[in-house]
Amino acid sequence: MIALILLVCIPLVVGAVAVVTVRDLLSAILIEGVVSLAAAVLFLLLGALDVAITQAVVGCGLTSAVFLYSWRRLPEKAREVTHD
Amino acid sequence: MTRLLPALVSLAVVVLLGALLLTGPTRDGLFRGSSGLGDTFSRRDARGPAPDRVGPGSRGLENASANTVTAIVLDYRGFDTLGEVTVLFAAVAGAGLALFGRRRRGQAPPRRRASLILTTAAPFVVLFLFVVGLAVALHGHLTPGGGFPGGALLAAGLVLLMSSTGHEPSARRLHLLEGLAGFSFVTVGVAGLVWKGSFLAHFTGGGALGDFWSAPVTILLYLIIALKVSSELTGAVRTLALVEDPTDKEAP
Amino acid sequence: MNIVTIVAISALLLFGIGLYGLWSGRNVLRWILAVGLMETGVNVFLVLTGWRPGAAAPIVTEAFSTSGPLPFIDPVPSALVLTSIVIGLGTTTLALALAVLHGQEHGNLDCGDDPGTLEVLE
Repeated sequence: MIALILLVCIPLVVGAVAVVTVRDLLSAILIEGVVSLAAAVLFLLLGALDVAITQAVVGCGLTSAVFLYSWRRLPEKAREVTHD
Repeated sequence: MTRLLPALVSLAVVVLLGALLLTGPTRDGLFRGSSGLGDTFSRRDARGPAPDRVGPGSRGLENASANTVTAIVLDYRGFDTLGEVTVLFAAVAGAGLALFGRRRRGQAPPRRRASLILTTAAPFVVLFLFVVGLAVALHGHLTPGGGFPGGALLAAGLVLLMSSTGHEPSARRLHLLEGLAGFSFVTVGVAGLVWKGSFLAHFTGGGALGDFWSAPVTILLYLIIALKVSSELTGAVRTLALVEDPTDKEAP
Repeated sequence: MNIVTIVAISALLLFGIGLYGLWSGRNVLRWILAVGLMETGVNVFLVLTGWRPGAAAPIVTEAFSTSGPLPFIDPVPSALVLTSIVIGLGTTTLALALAVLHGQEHGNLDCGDDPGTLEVLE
């Protein structure tokens, strides 16, 4: 059980670090989706199945979709903005 | 140099919060032992004799949802859930309001065609999403899930349909569906008020715990919530999709 | 190291990383992403407060009707987090709409010391 939890928690934290440090905006959005998915698996391991399903569908799926749609509506110059 | 201060402050916040939790505002500290936080907060429930606990097949209960999360969301905090749906509506309406002036005018520019993979796979995936979404929403009182993930799945299907065909659903229909769902939610609540004396009370009797018809009002409410959430979320994505694409304008 | 400690530290780290992301950059879209990270951290912690070793999903089954310790997790934090996730999507959508507005107006997402930031919202 501890091994499983660690297996989920490490990608969770590493992914979060990647979201705030990666230079490309699109990559950050996609990695945020992966972090949300890791959180959903963590909820599953903690026994909160309702939360896990909702996190997977809403937090991971639809939030990423909304982010991607807004990213596409940004001007070319704004899309390639890097860390600052 | 500009990033040193935020890093230090964030680290300080994490260390402070962690130290507070480890040493604990409670007598034992929240993390002492491996019993988990759940035990700390509900030890009184966990201990002691439990002479007449309910189980599958029990009748005449305060709420008849085998899934206790659903019981909390729709029975004990039903009014709060109405507020939650309202907040969601307000947020999506605010997004639509903010982007209203940015809407594409007149004929839409020729869209980039969706890829062959998307157009081929979309019908199957959309059908699957609709079926699973409805099943998840309708069985919210028995299995994990319920109206919110169910509605989100329906919305995901609609969004996929939207991006594969290139046609946005009509705003009028979405608004009609959403308003109808909100109205039905309040109607169910008022029906409980009229017949049982409190808002959102179960106005029909239910079957035995664990049956599909154990909680008819819960099924109805979760179906309404699924419709409302799906129309709201589809509307939100539609709002963002209808904003004029600056790269389209530059293209001939 | 038990499970509670590991998950609680991960949740705290998520919150801290989100705080850092919110504070260090000036890109609006990154702010929204950072707030999402903080939100995930808080949700994980809240779900953790309802966890109990060896506990199952909070659905009434045969195991529930027998006496002894409750065999499932506390459903109240789960119900609250359920609400939190759905509301989070709503607020994220609103924030993104404003970010798109800013991006189209200024051609960038820099929201730092720009005096025009407030003009867009008026």
